[in-house]
Amino acid sequence: MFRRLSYPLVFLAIIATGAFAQTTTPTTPAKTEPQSAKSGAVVDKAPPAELSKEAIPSGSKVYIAPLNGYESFLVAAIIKKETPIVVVNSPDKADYTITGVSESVQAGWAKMIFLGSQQSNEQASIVMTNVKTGVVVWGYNVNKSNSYKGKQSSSEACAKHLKARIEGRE
Amino acid sequence: MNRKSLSLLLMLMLAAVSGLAQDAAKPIPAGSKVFINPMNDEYEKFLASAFKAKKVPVEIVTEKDKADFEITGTTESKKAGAAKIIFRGSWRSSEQASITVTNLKSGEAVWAYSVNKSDSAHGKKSTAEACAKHLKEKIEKGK
Repeated sequence: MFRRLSYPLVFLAIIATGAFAQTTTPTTPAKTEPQSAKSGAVVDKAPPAELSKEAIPSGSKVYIAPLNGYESFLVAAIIKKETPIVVVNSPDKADYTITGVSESVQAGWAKMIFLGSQQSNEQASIVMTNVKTGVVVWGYNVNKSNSYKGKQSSSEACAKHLKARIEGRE
Repeated sequence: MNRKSLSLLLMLMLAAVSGLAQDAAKPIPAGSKVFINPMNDEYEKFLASAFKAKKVPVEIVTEKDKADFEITGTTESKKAGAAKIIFRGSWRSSEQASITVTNLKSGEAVWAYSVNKSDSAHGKKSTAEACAKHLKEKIEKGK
């Protein structure tokens, strides 16, 4: 009799513990957040004004560092979007350099079945640095969960925003 | 030689000179010597074949020192998985490629193109031919 009752009791206790753990987990960082803010952490510091103010002149020479093939997509996007810069093949000839990283995840079977999408998940991040001063003048992150044209879409987003930055719209 | 024929000759000469000047001003003049850098999956061979198939007006050279322009790029292929074959009824591969044409004298990228085909009928051949077709357009029309 005792054994029969003990099994469901233990099972219920495990479920209750699991549920409790799930509900309590998110509260832990909430408690710590104000503490870090009070202790004067880096979080509240405003970015230096010079970084965002430095204008990128139209027609600047830009070198794009190797990014596992993504640099080629970036050049194509810069030309397609008519971004007013000149891409050069050597860092010695450049006023600015672009470095970054990109990542692609192909659609798996679950995405194809449940979402009916075979488009990849793309993310990229690029940073533009002034060669003379070494100051980062611009940076952009892009994440496309259903990228229509793979790397081409993410690189064109980067080129579009770089154009906006050069023309002073961003 | 009378005045009429002289002026006609002058006009023809001017037209020829302006035509030559326009050709030189084009970022990639027809007949340029192009070196295709080695790429992953030997894509440079697909590109060279596509240039021939699409009659791109450039001369492909095997040594970089002899070239006016160089082509660099990358390609990526993904064969159709089981899910794509069963649920979408397509066994064609997904292809993407990107190429850049750089002027070797100035070091400036003069043209670049990206292509993405989610159902490529002929795999890499299709993307290479798309690149070749657009390069031909660029050379001939300058657009």
